[in-house]
Amino acid sequence: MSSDRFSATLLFLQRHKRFFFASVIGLLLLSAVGAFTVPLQHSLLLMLPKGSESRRMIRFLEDLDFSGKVILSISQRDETLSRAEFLAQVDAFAGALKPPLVTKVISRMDDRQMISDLQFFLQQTPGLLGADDFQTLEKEITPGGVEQILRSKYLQLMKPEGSFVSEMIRRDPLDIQTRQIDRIRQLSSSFGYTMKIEDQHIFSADGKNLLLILETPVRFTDSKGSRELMDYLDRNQKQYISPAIQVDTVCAHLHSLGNEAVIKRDIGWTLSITAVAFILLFLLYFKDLRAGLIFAIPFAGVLVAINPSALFMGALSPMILGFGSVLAGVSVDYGIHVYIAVRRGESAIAAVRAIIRPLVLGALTTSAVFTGFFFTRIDGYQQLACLALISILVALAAAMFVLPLLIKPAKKTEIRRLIRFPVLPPRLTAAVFMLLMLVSIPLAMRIKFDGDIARLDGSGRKVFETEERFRTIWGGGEMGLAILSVSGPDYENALEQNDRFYNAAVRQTGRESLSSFSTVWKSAAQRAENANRWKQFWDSGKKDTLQQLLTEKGRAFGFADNAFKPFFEQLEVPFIPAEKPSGNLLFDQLQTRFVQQKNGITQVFTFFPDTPEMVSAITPLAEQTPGAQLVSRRTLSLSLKTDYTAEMARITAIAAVLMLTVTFLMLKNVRMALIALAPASAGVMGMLAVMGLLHIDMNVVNLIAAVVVVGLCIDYGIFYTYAHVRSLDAGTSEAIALSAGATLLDACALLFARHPALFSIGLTLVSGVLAGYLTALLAVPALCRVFLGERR
Amino acid sequence: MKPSVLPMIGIFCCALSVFGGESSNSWKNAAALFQTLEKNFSTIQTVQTKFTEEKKLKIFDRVVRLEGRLALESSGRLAWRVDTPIQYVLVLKDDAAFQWDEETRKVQRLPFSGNPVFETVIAQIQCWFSGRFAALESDYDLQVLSEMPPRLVFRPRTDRMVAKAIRQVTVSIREDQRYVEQIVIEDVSGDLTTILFHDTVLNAPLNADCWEVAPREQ
Repeated sequence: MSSDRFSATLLFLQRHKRFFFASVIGLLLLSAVGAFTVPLQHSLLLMLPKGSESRRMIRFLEDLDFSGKVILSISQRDETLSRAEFLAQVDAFAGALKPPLVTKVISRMDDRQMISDLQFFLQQTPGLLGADDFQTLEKEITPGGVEQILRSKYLQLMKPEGSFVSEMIRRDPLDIQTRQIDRIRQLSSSFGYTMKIEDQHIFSADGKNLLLILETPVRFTDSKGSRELMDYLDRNQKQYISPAIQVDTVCAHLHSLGNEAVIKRDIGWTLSITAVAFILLFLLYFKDLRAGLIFAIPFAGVLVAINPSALFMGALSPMILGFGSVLAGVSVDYGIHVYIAVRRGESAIAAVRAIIRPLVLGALTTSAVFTGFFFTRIDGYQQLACLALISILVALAAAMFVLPLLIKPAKKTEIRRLIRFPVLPPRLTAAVFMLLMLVSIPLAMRIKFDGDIARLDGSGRKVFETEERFRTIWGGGEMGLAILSVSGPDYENALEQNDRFYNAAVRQTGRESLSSFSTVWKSAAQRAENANRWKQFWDSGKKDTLQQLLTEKGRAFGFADNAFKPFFEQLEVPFIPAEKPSGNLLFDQLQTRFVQQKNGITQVFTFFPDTPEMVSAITPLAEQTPGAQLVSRRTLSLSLKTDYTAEMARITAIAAVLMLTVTFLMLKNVRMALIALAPASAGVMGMLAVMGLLHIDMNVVNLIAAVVVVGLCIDYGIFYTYAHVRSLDAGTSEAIALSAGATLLDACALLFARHPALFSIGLTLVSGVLAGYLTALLAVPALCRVFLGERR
Repeated sequence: MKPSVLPMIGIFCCALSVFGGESSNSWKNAAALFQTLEKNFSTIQTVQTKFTEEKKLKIFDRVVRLEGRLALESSGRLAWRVDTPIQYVLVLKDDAAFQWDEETRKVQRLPFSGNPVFETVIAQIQCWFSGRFAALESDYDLQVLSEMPPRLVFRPRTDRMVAKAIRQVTVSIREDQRYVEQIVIEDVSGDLTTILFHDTVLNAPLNADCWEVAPREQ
């Protein structure tokens, strides 16, 4: 927009002031109303690159059925109730929990039923054997093998347990069924919790804590639903459980609610601090009530931007809206520059016209930075870019067209310096600046990318303490386990995939580290194949050989000739693989953990220790298995690092090109452009140096703050350079000091935030903006004098 | 030797810990006897006794006789040593069971925590040897064969899993009613295990080597 056209527009608006202001107020009111109807997206996926490994893993974890469970650990505070009274209250509470919020309560476990269910698996053992089991049997049915077995059985019979296991040994001298029991036990213990069944309930090892597992259709990403669910549990707890009983709740829902509460509290708190500080700063410094409008402009920008952003992007993330309050700081400059220029001038139009070029250039370069975000594969960053660009545009428009109509020129010509620094010779200042930039490089090099998004979890101390207590009582659960999932269009197909994967994995790593459903239930095809193999194995003469060896070698230990008759009688009965059992509690519980059917797809999971050795052994197998997905916390962290590094490299490259292009095009001078960019460079280096000194790593949120630093510091550089070149006397340094001061106030308030993400943003902004501002104030004038000559 | 069989015993025995329905009349009638027994047993701080265990098991072609020693402390420590025909030691102390046998010649530690089934089995062993019979009420029907000297028959209730393994346990108490004299366990297949305690010494101080698991090398 040319200066003349700007003057004409401003004059036109001045003539239709009432209508114009009414329209602005109307727009703000509509935006405020509309902001409450904006669809919100809570998923973490928004902050992860589309098509990336990390996004795939997080989506997988979000989709897991067991991530939607609520676990209650219930104990007596002071043992005043008898076990029966305690159980009666817990059972009444569990019985009261009904749909739609709680669809299933696992509170009772009938150990007798479990033991009888176990019989099914023992009967089905021949169909559940693996290739390695047949190899073991081959080795055992030799003179040496049989002697070793008999010796061990004899020893076992001499122990106190001998009187109980005699019949079991007669039926299973080769431990075929015993190994199967061990596998079921291992699979149960792979849940990662230490528990026992007492009084048909699940108790901790010390018998003092009882476990309730609730299934709920409420997703943890649904804030409203999560709140309703927690309220529902609280109400029922108060009704059925006395204060003598303590209930510890552990679920992902509490993390969502905790984070939301902390972010709300932090934003409210920081906004209050910022608002009070801003109002005091502007009112005491400017001694003009209308100076408060400067403060209103960035918020108006964000408010107006929310609705069109939601319209363009489909929905907005609450986290991105949270960042919106930070973004407000970026556009506060425009109002400050306009206000000071107008107050110092004789005519509002003339004053704004004089700074319109750096004003627009500042907005364009900041926009260029945010435009870079549009080229990422991260939905959240694209939302942020949209919100930022629109709010910058609105704030610039408000500063240019609304603010001048509301403030009156005060003709204040004196320059008020907020901060006075000793002025060094320009060459020395330039040299010091360059030296500092060089010194900060090794510090900046220390920074690593921390891909562990769990560290940004601000759920609150209570949630973490409860989880810690839970882990102490019950064990670590699934922490430290990696998951491999295979899938198929139907149950049998998925089981076949699982068997194939498991057989390959056993060859690679052995059985011990793998918790697979395949050890307790295989596909019908595999069970049928095993049944044939079982028959062929024994029909090949092995049965006679074993019988002969047991009789011959057993005599030395005093075993009767018919000692193992029950085993051979069982072999006479042809093994027929059974169908999938129904009503078998043990089977159902194992299946719930290892098999998930959703949207017409059946997934089967295998769990294994999340160690580099295991992950590197399993990864090639997963790659060879169609549709297999490997999710490991360790790999996730590495993937996040790789994905974010790639995304940030792309954003930085595009933003840098756009920013340089805009700056060069507007300033039409390479030296000027490079000097104008000095504060932005110093801001980034300063920020990285401080983080390096404090041993703080870069994470997914302070990367955004870093971009905000660049956007802000560019404005400082442009205004200083422009003012130097054009000998502009529009209170530039005063305006920049106020702008930086306002941003620092905003950012310092974030240092009081409890949420780690907001604190991280605060630290990044404070260090970056301070470095950028000091560079603009001290180094840019010196660089201008050294490289551009004295003021014209 | 793998400890794999222990869960199996646990599976058979864990139902013992489940408390069930109403006390039968026999338990009510024997209340006075149990009161006396508990009172007498409660004065026992330590037990040192030899035992002879006879196993009449169908798996063997002859009766197997074991000789050994049992040491017991009211704190819950227990040492079961078999001297012949094989050497075997089981010590329950602190939070674990320790086993040693002449075959492996290694001490095997089996922690109670994290192995609740095993914990339950151990609790059962302690129950029989320390005379806390009243704790068995929920799982067993009781028959008092004789009050003086006391001879008690415990039959697992039919709805208990243990009934699938044990037909009955007969416990004979010494005439002075201060300790167990004999335990006879009959399993469902008819196998019989008889443990006879003799040379029993009560409340004598126990040497520290009582709780040593591996025998000292000669």
